[in-house]
Amino acid sequence: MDPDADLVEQARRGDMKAMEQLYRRHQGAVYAYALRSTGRPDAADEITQDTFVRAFRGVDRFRGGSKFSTWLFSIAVNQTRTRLAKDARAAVPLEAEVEATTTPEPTGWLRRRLEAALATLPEGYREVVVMHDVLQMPHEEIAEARNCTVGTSKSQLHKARAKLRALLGDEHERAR
Amino acid sequence: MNERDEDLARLEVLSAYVDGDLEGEALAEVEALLASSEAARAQVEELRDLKALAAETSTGPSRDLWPAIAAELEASKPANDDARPWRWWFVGAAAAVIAFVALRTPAPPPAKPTLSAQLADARAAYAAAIDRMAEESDAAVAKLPEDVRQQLVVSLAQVDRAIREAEAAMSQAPEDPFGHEALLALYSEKVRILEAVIAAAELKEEAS
Repeated sequence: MDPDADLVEQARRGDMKAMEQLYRRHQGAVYAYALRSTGRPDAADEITQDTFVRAFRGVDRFRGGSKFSTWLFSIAVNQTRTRLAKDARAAVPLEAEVEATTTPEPTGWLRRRLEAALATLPEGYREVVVMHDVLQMPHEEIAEARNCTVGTSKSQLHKARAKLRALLGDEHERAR
Repeated sequence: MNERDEDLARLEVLSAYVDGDLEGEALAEVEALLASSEAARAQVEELRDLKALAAETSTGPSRDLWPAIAAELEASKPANDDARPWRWWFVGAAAAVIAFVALRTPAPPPAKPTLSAQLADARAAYAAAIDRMAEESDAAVAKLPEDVRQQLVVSLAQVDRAIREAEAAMSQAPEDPFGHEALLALYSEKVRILEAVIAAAELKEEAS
């Protein structure tokens, strides 16, 4: 049973309070996904807003075949892809990020490195890392949101982590 | 496969191990590797750290986005969604009022086939009815208490101003069915006020 089912039903009838509750429940995860995917708080704000606007405008098309959160994330994925394509944003060079960082505490520094490294990953890798490791979504839901198989989702995750580990290698050692 | 590719391939397998995705022979191979390789054990720990690092709680949006989302949703509601129920409710109500007015006045002109033409006829019927009610309502107004009369004058002035504005708009787009309907709504409101005035005056007369 989808924990959002009742609210979604009310949202379908145009209940703005139900929509607001759905927004409050899921805005953190959508924002986290957008932020980790773009590395930019302003873009993450816009993606979050656009995702919910699209979701509520099209909530009639959500038939409950998956959890609402999964369906919402499929919209967030598309919004993020569109945004990144529109901006034609080049991946932030990892070295530039390192140079911009002075000597902060190791975990924060490593997190920034991680975010910068995420931005260098291919789109599919980045999506699956954020969904699985950041948002703790199971592969079944990731596969549905990304329109791929569970096997592809798992494979991409492990390839992505391997790349991240390789990118972060020395710094990770230093921070431990 | 060069050394870097081999390293990446091993990291992929270790990542699958960290997530518990391995079984059977693949799992046995990794367990054997971990038993013999300190480097592999270190990589597993690094992958676990990486996973935990990614899971660290992220902050939310920089501001509350709900007001902007709600405003976008309101702004994008199709006009017809709101207007349709009201519009047909009004057409029905207008018909009822016309029927009521018809009891007190000569029959309205016969209906014409198009909605626009029918609405134009309804407007004419309202206007005629209002004219005919004017004398009776003027007399009724004079019988009402001063405070009620003042309120009434304000209400009628507001409706009359809105009617003038709607008629001006209609002169620019005489075939606009929505303009017809808006004007009908205003006529209907004026008829309602005049009827209330007459009824109130009749009640006052009966009471005195």
